[in-house]
Amino acid sequence: MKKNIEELLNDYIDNQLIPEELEDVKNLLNSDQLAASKLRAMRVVHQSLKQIEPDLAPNGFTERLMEGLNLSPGLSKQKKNYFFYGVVGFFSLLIIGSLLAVVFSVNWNVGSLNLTTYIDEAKSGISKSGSEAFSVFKNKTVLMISSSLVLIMLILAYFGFESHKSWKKKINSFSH
Amino acid sequence: MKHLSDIEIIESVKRGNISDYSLIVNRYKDRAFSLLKRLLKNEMDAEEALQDSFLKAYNGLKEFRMDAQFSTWFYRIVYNTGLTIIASKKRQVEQEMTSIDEEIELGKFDNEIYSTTENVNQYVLKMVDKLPVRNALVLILFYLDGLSMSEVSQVMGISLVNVKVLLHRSRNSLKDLLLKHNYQEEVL
Repeated sequence: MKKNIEELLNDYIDNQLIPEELEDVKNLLNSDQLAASKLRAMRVVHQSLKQIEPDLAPNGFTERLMEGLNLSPGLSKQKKNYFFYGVVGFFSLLIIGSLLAVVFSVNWNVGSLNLTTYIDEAKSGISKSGSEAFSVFKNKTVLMISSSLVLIMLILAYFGFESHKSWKKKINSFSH
Repeated sequence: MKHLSDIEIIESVKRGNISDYSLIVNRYKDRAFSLLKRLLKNEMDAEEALQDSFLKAYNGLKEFRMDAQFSTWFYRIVYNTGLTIIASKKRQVEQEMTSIDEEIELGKFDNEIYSTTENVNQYVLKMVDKLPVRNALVLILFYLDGLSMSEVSQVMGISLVNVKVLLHRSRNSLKDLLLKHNYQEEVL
């Protein structure tokens, strides 16, 4: 599609004309006074726009901003993944708790040094303390509350994870 | 330090020299402020958005790809921060979300501005402020910040064709006003 005069002049100003179009424009400018006048006006606009001066940011802006950054130097560090640390901590506590349960449930005074005896003792100890711990959930109210809490935590974790993912994606898209 | 490139400064900040971030701030604060003032039409909001933008950029530096252009990445943060403030103040979109096809009506400002300006440069620059926000922003990013059309399209999240349309229409409107006042003959 052929460009109109306005497009040609704009592209001429931006050095975006192909050789044939450039030739057309030159012919037009030689033969058409109005087109030549338009180009002069366009050049004035272009030159004036090149002289746009920036508005100055408020006084002391840099100092205030840097002060804020220095007061919390680890702004980016604060964004550590606490969720990850939470999960690791939870499982660590679970393992330590299980080990302690084993240690305290085994009857160390058993005379025999047979390993299977210790394992059997540990198994029965764990199942005993486990069943004691879970007996609290036999109460319907406690069961309801804890189920709701777990559900809420799972939903929060999901949204937390999703928002972190979209934020990361957004930041990445900026750098493309 | 002033001759350092953006990437060199960012590398230094990433190594823990937080104070070097002030070099980036000083380099971009005025131009970003100009953009925000035109977008938000309010100096206080513009300052708030400017501060937010630099904080977001600082916090996002870890994610910044060093082979990318910092200015484009940063201006996109600035532009989006400005839009977020507009949305939060519910001064919605009459300003900046107007269609690309919006009519440019500079005629109603012409007499006042023409009578109060001393030369063509002043006249053109004052008229830029009367353009619809998107048109003005394209001109600011293209001329003041020196971004290419492709970079402007990335910053504003619009197509390259639309950037070109906005740029051409803005210049055409200004050109028509100059022709009306015969400015082109005075200058050249």
